[in-house]
Amino acid sequence: MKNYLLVCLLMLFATASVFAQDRTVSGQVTDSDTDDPIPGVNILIQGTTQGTVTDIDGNYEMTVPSDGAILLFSYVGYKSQTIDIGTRSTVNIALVADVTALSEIVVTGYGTQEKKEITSAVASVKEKDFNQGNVNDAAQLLQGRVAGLSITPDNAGNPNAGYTVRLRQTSTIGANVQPLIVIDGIIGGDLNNVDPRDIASIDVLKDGSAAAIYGTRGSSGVVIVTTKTGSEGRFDVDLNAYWVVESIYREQDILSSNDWRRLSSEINAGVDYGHDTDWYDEITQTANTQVYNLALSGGSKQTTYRASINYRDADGTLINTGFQRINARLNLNQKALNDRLTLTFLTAGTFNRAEYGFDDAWRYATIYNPTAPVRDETNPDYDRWGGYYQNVLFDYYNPVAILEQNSNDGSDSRINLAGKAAYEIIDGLTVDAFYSLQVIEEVRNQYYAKESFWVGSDRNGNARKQSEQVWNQLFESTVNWNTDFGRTNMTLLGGYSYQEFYREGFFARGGDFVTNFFEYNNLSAAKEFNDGLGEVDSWKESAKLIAFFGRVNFNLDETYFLSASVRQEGSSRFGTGNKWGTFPAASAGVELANFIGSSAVDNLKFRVSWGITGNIPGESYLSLLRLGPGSSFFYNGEFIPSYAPISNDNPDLKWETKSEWNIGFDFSLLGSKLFGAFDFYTRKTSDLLYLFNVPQPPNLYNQAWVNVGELKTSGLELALTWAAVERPNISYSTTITPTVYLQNDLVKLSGEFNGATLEFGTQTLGAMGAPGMSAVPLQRVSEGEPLGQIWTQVYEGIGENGDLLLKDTNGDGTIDELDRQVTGSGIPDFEFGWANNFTFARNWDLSIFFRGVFGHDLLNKYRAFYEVPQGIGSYNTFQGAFDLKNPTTGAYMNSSSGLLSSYHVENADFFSLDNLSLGYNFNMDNSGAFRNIRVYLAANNLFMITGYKGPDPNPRYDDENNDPLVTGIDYRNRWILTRSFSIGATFGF
Amino acid sequence: MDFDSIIQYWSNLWILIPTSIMKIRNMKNINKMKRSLLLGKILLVGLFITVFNQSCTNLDEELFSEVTPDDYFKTDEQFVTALASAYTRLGPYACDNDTYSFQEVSTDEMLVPTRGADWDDGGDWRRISLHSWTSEDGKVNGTWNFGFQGVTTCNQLIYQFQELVDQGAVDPATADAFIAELTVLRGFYYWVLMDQFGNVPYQTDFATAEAQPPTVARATIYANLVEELEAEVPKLSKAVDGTTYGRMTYWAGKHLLAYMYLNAEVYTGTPEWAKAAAAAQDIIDNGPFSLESDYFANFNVNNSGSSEFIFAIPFDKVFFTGFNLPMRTLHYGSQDTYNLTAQPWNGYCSLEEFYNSYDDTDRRKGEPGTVDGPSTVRGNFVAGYQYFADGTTPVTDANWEQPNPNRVPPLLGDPDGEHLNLGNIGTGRPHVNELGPQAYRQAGVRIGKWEFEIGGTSEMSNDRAIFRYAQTLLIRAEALWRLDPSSTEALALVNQVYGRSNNDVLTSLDGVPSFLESEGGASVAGGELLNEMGREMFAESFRRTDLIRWGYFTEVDKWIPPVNNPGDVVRSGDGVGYTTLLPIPREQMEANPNLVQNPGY
Repeated sequence: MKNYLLVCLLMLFATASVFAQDRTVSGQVTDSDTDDPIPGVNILIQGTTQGTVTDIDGNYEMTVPSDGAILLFSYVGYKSQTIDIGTRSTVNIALVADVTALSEIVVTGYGTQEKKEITSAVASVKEKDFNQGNVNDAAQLLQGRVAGLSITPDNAGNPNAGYTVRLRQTSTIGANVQPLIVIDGIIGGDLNNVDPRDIASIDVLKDGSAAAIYGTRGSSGVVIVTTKTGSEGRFDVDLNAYWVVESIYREQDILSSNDWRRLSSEINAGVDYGHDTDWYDEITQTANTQVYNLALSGGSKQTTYRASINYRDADGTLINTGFQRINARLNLNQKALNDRLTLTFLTAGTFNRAEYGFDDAWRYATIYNPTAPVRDETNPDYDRWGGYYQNVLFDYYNPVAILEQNSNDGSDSRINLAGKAAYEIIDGLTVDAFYSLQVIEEVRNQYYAKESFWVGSDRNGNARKQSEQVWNQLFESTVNWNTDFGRTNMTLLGGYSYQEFYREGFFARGGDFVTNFFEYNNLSAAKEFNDGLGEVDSWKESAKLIAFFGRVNFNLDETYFLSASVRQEGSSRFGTGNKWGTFPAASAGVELANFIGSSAVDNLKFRVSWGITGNIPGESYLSLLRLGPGSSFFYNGEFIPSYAPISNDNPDLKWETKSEWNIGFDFSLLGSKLFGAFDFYTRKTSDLLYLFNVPQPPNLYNQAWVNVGELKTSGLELALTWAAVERPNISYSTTITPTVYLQNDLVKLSGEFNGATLEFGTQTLGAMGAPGMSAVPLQRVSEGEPLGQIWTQVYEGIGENGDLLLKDTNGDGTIDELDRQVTGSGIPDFEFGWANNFTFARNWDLSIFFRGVFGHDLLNKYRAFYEVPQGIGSYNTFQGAFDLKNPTTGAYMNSSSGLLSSYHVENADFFSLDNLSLGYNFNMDNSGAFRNIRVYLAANNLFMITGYKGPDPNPRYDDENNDPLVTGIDYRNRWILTRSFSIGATFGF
Repeated sequence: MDFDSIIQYWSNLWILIPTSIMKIRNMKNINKMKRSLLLGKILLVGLFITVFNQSCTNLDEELFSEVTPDDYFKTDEQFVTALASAYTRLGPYACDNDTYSFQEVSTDEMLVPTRGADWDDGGDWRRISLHSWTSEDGKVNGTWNFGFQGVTTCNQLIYQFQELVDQGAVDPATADAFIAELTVLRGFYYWVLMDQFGNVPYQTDFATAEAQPPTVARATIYANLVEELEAEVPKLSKAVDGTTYGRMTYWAGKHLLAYMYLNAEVYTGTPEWAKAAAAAQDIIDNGPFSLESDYFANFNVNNSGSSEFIFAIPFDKVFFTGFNLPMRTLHYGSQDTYNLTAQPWNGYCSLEEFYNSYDDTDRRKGEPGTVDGPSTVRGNFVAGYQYFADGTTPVTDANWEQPNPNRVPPLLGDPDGEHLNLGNIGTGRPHVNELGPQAYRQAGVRIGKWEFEIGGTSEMSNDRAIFRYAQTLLIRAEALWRLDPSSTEALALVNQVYGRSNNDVLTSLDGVPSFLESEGGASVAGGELLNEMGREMFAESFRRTDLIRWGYFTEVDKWIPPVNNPGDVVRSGDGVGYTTLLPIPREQMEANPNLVQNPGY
């Protein structure tokens, strides 16, 4: 490590040079379009490090050699310009806005680069390209916008559920699968602590080379969020308000009471209770959401600031669900010591109160008998259930009672504090120190009423309260040196990072209450604590990450670009001797447009990159043998706790590493009318972390975390924008971001542990679950084969007598579990987002965003469990049950067992209109009170084309137990998709 | 090192660097080159200190809510709690694990019907009943894990205690007693493994354990176990009181040995009847045990310290849970009969012929509930019409199976309608036996041997005997009968047990094994002894082993009810007989290539 620092410091000595200074030159820099002065323009005497910047009025004055000089004017978003000033003493200049995409500033981690200099796969999404409409989660802003970035709702429709983000598909199976989030320099930030309205840009470091500067946590990609800041010389107030109306759509086609009666009489099963209940109607509502954002921003030459406050009040479509959230953020920048010292202060707080409801209600509404009443206050039998109708059957509860009798809510407080001091010691050489603190407090409460048949009556009222606190601190310090040698620009970075994580929690649960009044607010009222039945727990864990890192970037004559970086990082979570890992990366690019010399080709950069990133396990202490208290033991007349090992130790536990090659082009053609990027990546993850079955004996535990195996993935990504029409009165541009997943192979999953060779071979994973299918596996995983193999028997039809006919695929004359085969793929082949932006009549804008995912299947657990005609004796079923009969004899399938076969592995390709928004911008006189006023209408999920019968055809990248090896399983308890309409207005003044 | 020192260190550095830089900048008579050099030196020194500063690179883990062995084993109490972990692993043996399922559900005592979609579980339960299990079955792996978790826990504790003795950290006398106790307890776990799988790895030393130990032949394990138990059992306490309740004592070790000798012929090919009889006699003559006058005194909620308990698991619904039989066996609606705080799962049942192997006058059978009211005589079974705890309100099943003549084959339906009748007793069309996959939800009489607490939870506080004196008597009886079928002592011993629950006595140990009754089976030598072992030890985890010893285990087709699922195969009825050993689980074969699969799988 010290070598890198040494190199970095030796470079310092090359800066010494002395200039003759003779006369002054002055002038003003303006925008060529608007003639407005531009403050902050960099002016440099070419070939030197001497220069200045324009003041707030765009004016500058500087000394130049008497024999003349060439001045280089540069400013972000404008084309740089060089002027040979000759003997002139006044030089005014108008800069032309640079509209090519490649001049964008891209945040790359510990720094920024212009897009043209980038030599790795990085996608940058600015605010104007974010998804519109009903957006409550920052992840939603990007859905479909970045090739290779797959964002799927964890539980579509649930306002309190998050999103699963997969960059370039699975790169790990036992470590952290979600990308690393960096918010304004806070590594490991939480997207829930940023209001979508406060985000200026999101940059996605896609390949190994780009992510390697974050080393150990970069394997699943890095998402860098930059929040809005104030700008010099302005004072802006922005107010935004919108209202959303949301309702369910794509309901499951369960039987109505009339259909139920028809099927019931046809197969002569089930009990008609004489009512007509639409259970979906009973548990849902039209959800209203209101969102208000207020931001103040501005600044002087020394100080810029932005303060914002956001309020969201959202209902869920399930009754008694929703949240209220306040988020406040302050970004403050102060310059001092002749502008050499920059102090940055960032603070953000998010305070959320939510009613989560109970997802189980969806399942019971789906399967509850539609002829049963919701309540029956007249029947004394139901008094003990608070008047709600209940039916005593396994796993069968009145969903309305669940939602109305019980409560499930919580609150989160998330606070980020960060401060940064950057000092420019000499021109181009900056050192900085950064500190951040993230505190998250989560409280979760549940109460199950005394009368609640579901959970509650078991315990005569049951209350639960859990709180958890996360306390993460980060300290970083970097040295940054930017210099030119002739036509070469070099940027050097060296740094140190120290991060500490604490998580601690408390939990109590007790039942047997005299009254429901307290709910979870007075746990001492739970009689179970007196009886020893109450439960209490507390826990705490910590972890540390320490890193040294360095990077060098070269820009040779704006034509050749090189970058190399290394991060040496250590994590406390690994075994002694294996704590440290090294994560190098290198990349290079060449601007071919400089050789082609065609006016049609503005930019054509070819780039190649390679990098190694790491991944760490999700919990601490895995390398240690630990003891913990277990169940009690009767000793000498009393019960005492037993202490037993709760893990195997693996002192060899080490980093999971991923090496990745990326080859790509960035291009801009036809006067920037057609531009984009193309990438091919291929990656290999080694030393995969996996919880392996280990031999017992001799091991104390039958599982251990081990570094085993290798995973290979590859794919193609394209991002293409075409500015098709650019006229004053009408414009149209379209962007498409397709991704093709070429390879997703588990090369091996075998290795060594405690002297034993562990062979994974071929295994079946996952489980259907209760009722009746708890041991039925769902997925086959085999070394040397692709991931995502849905594994079931093959459906052949219904026999004349109603027998279920399954295929004897192995031809052994017996239909059994050995006849299972691959009947679907949980992982898609292809997906894309397609954005269309129109402006017309100057004031109107329209954006239409489509998204599609193809090539994946979903195992529809709902149908597999309940789409069985005879099942109507217990559970409501789907319209499809009418089809489960022999076409000739009309005999319905005669088994009432759930049916898991290829019949319920469904193609889940879909194409959807994710969002559409139409806006009108009022013409504002510059002198008026308002800077701008815009009103808009937006709609989400207007239509979806899919053959999938379940609620949501989005891919599932893990199962209920978050096992990423089990994909494509659409489990029950999911919400129904929603469609929403928003109306909003923004005011700038 | 913590964050504070990092921050303190860096803030010092941060004050040092800028102030030095300011000083250098203010130096007038120094050229730019020298200035840069000085700046560089300051940064260099600063950063190098960082690299070599311990606190900046320390990655030791800090534990809070778990403890490593280095920080444990300091006090006597800590030793005892560690010892406890070898015993708490016994918990699932009561009824909640796969060992239990193989000992009971694979026999004529019990089955778990597939009731519609309930308890289908991928055919797991039917495969156990039909003896068509494979090495893929999760339950096979479950019983393996039960045994070896016990074994490895004992091994590790023996090793740890020995280490501490070697270090002089504990009194050798104390440690030796613990080590002998753990060795005998390990013997119990190994016996379960050897009995179920036959050939398994055999390791007794934690420190030198092989990474992937090879299979050891059943006879070798038997010989080693017997040798070890014979040496260690005499070292154990003979006290039978609060200090040894729930622990391995001399008597528990002897009973284990007696039962192992009784099965020696199965394990090694060579019978050890005399040794079995002698070991049992030692307990009878010298132990403080006696039969309770009431059979159910062994199974009541408050059964602690029954005079029959030789080795028991002291369960408690709060402190030591895992005995969840009411959940596993009772019907959903039975929640109201016992005012349970949890809804049962409607699983385990007994079979018709087994139920009928008890005379109606046998106090162990009990009486079923009738249309007129609930059962008034408790028995090993919960059967017939069920009522609320008030004794008058019928428990109803809104989803009772209604007749369906249109179905192929026609569904007869529950003859007595909505009123919950477990096993449909007294309807003229009993459905005691139904394996499924479409068994009626009310089919089957339920396991009522252990008293269900009124207002109880899903967990029982009844202690669960592993070894009970009644079995000691039956072990000796069988051993004597094997040596001499006309032994009067054998008949007398059986009648001690039988007579307790019946007003008459048996006059001969010969008879028709209960599961052959319906086939019109002939009387066989010792048939009544086998029946009595079933009646007395019902649901106590011995039936599989007993049936194997008697040679009937593979005649599974004699007791299983008909099934209508083409995928369900009776693999042992064809006389192959290999199912007397379970297959080595696939997971274990994969984790350890030195294991050898049992024949037939």
